[in-house]
Amino acid sequence: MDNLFYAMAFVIFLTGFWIMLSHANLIKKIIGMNIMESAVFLFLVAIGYVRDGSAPIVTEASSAITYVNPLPSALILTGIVVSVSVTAFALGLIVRLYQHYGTVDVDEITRMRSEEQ
Amino acid sequence: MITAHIMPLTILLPLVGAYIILLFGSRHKILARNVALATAGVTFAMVCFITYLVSAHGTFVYHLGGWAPPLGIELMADNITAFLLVTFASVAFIVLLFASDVLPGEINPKVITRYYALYLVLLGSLLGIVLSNDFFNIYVFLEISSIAAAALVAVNGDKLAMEASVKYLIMSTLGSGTVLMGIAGLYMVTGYLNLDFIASNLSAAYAGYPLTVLMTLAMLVVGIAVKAALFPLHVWLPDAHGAAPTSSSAILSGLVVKVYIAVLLKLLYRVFPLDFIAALPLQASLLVMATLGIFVGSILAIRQKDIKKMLAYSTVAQIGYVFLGIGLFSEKAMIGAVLHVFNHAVMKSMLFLSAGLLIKYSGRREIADLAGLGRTYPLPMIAFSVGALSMVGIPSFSGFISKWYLGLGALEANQLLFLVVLLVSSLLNAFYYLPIVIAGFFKKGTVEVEKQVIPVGAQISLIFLIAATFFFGLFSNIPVSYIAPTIQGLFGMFGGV
Amino acid sequence: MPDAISRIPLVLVLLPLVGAFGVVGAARFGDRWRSRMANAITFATLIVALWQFYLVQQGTVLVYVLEGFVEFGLRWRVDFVGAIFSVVVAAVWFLATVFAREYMAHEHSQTRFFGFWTFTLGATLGVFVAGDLFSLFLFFEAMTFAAYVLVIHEEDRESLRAGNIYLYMSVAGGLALLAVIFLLQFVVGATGFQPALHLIIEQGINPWLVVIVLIGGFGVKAGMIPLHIWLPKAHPVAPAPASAVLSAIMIKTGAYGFLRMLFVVLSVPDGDPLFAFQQNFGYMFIWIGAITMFVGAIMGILNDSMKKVLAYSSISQMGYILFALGSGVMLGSRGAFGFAGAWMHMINHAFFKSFLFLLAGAVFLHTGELDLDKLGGLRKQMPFAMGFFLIAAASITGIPGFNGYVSKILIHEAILEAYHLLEWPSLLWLERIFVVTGGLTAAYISKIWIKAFFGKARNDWSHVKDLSTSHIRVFGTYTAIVVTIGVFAQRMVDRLVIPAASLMPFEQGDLAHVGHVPFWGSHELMSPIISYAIAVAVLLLLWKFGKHIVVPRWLSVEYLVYKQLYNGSLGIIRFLIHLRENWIPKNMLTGRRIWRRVDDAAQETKAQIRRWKPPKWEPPRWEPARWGSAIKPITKDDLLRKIEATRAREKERVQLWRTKEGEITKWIQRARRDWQEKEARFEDRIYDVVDGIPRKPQRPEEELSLDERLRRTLEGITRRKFNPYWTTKNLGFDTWIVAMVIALILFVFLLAR
Repeated sequence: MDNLFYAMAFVIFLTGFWIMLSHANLIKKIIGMNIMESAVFLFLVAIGYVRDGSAPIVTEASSAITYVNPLPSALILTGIVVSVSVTAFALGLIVRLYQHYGTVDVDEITRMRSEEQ
Repeated sequence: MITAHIMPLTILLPLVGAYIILLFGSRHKILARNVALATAGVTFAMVCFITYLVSAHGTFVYHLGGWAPPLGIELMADNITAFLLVTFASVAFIVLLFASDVLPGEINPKVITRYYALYLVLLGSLLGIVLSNDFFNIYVFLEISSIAAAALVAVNGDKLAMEASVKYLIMSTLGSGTVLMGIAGLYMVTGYLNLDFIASNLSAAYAGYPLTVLMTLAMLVVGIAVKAALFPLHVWLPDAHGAAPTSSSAILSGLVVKVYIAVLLKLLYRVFPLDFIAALPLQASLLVMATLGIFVGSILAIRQKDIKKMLAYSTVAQIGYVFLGIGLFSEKAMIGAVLHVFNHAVMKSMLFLSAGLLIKYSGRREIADLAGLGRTYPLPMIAFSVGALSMVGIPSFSGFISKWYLGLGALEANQLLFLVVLLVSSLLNAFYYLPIVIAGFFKKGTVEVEKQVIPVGAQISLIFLIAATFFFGLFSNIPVSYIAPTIQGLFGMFGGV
Repeated sequence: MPDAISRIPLVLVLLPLVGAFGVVGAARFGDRWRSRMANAITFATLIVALWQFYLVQQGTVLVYVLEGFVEFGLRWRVDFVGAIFSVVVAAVWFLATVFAREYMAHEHSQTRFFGFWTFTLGATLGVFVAGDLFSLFLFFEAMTFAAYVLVIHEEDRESLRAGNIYLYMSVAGGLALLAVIFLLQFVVGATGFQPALHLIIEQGINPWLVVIVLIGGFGVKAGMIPLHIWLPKAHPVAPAPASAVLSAIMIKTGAYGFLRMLFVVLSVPDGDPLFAFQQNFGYMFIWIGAITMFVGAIMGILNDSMKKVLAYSSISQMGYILFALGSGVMLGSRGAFGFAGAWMHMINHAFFKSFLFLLAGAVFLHTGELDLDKLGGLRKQMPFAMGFFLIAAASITGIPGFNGYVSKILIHEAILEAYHLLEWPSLLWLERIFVVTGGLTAAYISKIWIKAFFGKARNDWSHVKDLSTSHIRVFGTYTAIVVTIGVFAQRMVDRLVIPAASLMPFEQGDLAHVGHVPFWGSHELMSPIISYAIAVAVLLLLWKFGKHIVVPRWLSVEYLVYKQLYNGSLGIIRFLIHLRENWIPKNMLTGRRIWRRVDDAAQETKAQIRRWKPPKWEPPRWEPARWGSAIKPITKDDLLRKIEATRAREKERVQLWRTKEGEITKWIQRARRDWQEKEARFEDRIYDVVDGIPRKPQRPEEELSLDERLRRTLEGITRRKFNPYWTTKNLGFDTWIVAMVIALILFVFLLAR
């Protein structure tokens, strides 16, 4: 039970991975990507947790108390920013694709492309 | 003061340049172009300066913000890193020189400033990946580079490029997510993000959590393999590189897939000890995938009708060579792999740029239609021939040198089979490159083309690349003596395999 | 021999290499300046080569090293062997350049031709003065690619195809050579010409592997059977000066490589336990040489185009050289005769083969014909050409007083010496093959001479001029060289061969023996007489039965080996791609879709089941039978009505046919034209390696069941639908003698040894 978070994070990671691979709908793929990244962030935050630790804020009265590791929070903030920018870019591309092809289904797009060629 | 902070400045300067271009560029297009060229040029100069510093003073580090590791982020430059930096900065500058003249005819003029900005962002992120010594920093720059690269493919907005870019982005993100999971796993078992600290704590971590370390290594290698287009994870490459504008293809094929190999090198040779890796079947799997990649890439390249797609499949094969060198785990093989990174960047850029010129001036992309263009446009065709002969492995061109080292490395590691693979694949390379050269010069043309003047920037960039191919083919001592001591040190430190 | 560092070898190679750019630059000032420049550069190269020879003759070995160049430096090392052959190369090249000026005067792209011509000279010289295998390889590749431009000079389909085969085979050979270089570098640490057999075996590498790869490497260039198929295609399509140089010089690089590798690198002293390897290598080479010379000679007899006969003649003469090389290697330190024979023949063949090719070129220049069936009766119009041809023919057949005789006697002595020393019966058979081939050589050369200059004139030759003065000068020089070597045989052997042979560890007694071969002894003088007797017999046979000899197209090394390999690999690749496209799911998750399809099919079936209603069934009614009720009588009106109806139908049909006839005919014509066009395009794309694999026909997506797909795939494979190349037509052919020769060899192997 100690490793529940880590195990669940992996399960969610694999779920997101699977969604990215299996669904034909591009929007669903992006959702899967977000799920996957969220899993990684969950994993990182869970790493940082120290049992019986308090919030990592330094005040005058606190010198010998254990803190939760603040580093992973900083890491996942960066990661979230990256994830959001990738999502935004991907969604923009998908909108343009929809304008071109009229569908967001990858199989349809591949079929239309091979027909054109 | 600049000398002390040269490393972060090298990364920052392209990013700042991109920002400036985005601010003012949409109104003043010429200004945007000049700013881009100037930034790339100055970056190249700074990278040369770093190289000089490394050769004079040895490996040196920089602590961002003055915070020493493990608290702070560290940037490190040693011989191999400096060599890779010079590769990226120089080829990027030369391709930008080409692009600044050729782009207006190739893509929508409204998006050219965006192109320059994205290009500089890509350059900055590539330099950041190579210089950084902190794993999460590497991840951030990795993501920046993948976004910028995907954007460079899609910038023109045509159907094919869009679809290729989406495919590229999705597979790239798969890879990055896996890499991030691997980084998190390493952080979990060792508690550090700095490469040197991870390396020193890894044996203790492995004693405690063997399965986690193995899984982490697996995730990292697979994630990097997806992004570096190792067979069978290469499926995004032909579409992306075939559909992109010429200079994007050159940069993507030449530099972007290589930077992930640089990450892999850092990972395998500095973080994980060699005897640990030798105990895994990692070597065998890398070698098998590399060989398959070489053959599949070459065979599929022979089948292609579109010249850019053919060059993309050729890239798959050449990445196979580099992975072959990495997977052989011998000194000469690794020298060959690192040299091939540089040589292939130069050769492939030259091939893509000359192919781009030929496509632009004849209007056709099919190989069969490029016959006879050598008479009207000798310079691109000569550049293509030099690149083709270099790929086949004719001595006195630079491609031969990297194949030489790879072959000797294969013999050193007692794997005669891979020497045969190397030679047979050189013959296969001849099968799909030489016909284009022959058709270009010696066959009758089927397409009526009038002779137009090639822009000066394009000519200069092609001539530079041709000269570089010859120079590093004839005087190969210079790069080899630069990187060999570090590689020997790596192998000596870990006892070699 | 002391080594002396000298820049002369470097100058020798650089002068033509840089001079090529000079020739291209001089072309701006006009044709005459270009040819003057070319002549000047080749002449200057000849002078440098002579100077180099003079220096080397005094006993030094010239060495030059360019450090740090191309990875570990280029090494030049000129000993006696290299010096003499440099002179030969430069001389032949110079004479061919002088010839080429007039020959190429009306060709296109002359600047390109002469530029690459000079460059090839530099690269070829580089091969002969290279100091280690790596430098040799560099110049070898440069020579291959520069000569390619000369081969495809005409730029028509045939030249391009010949050039393709030449290029790809040479590249493959170069890569095999690179494999040998890798092995040597790894084993020895350097690729110089030093004995290395011990080290190779110590490292655990099988020396037979090295020899086989070496054969692949140099054998392609040397025109060895079975790697010779490019030669009869490439040499005839090149312009005559280029053919001369290709045949005379460039295939010698292969023989030179074998010489260095076998005599120096892979050789061991006599008493060494590894000597068995050397003996076996030599024996194999003797057999390879014998097959090559015999098959080449037979093909020379059976062909009818002058240049093609000469190309096969080159193959045959290279067989002589390999034959002699083999016997020299096999005998170890007693192999002086073999070395002497091979070396002398290399020099002699260079001279008389270029002589012959240039003569053929002169005939072509003046008459426009190369086909022997169309030539004839030229002796009145071109008496000079006839005379020179007679001299050249005398050289190649080995008439005493001309240079071919000298080397043939040496080779003959070599094989006889081998037989005397080792007493293997197979060697006696080999000697007989040698003698018979000598006769065949005389046969094909006489055939050319007789058919070209004697006999009925097939065309109108009244406008044909004889050789021009510059050509006469060139041929006169050739005659002088050939006759000098032939007449002063002993002195030539003393000065050219003995010093070269002393470089190798041959026994002194043998060397002295080589220096005292009784060239004018009665036993030796019998050889040309025997050759001509055989030649007369063969020519008579050919004259009588020549029209009945039909060589099946499918029996040739090319068809049996190369085509099958090519088709096989293409077939495998297309099969794999077929598998990938049709059997492996395109989407990782087709499984899901299969389930969905199964689901849909199940739903549909259920719906069908639900919709099915049992058919209405009524019990049959019982009716009493009525006589005659079943048969209705036919009335006349019925018949008439039927006839009318039939007539109406026929009329309608005929009318329809008449209206549609024109359309249908046009449709048929159009379809036929399309089909012919498609055939032509398909034919065009068959044989080239360049064009890749043809597309399979676009068929619309059909929904086939798994069984159906499996059945069709298997049917396609068994009916070879994946391999349309089975129906292609051939391009060139060798002979069924190949099978006979193989049977002969097997027979001899069973008898002898």
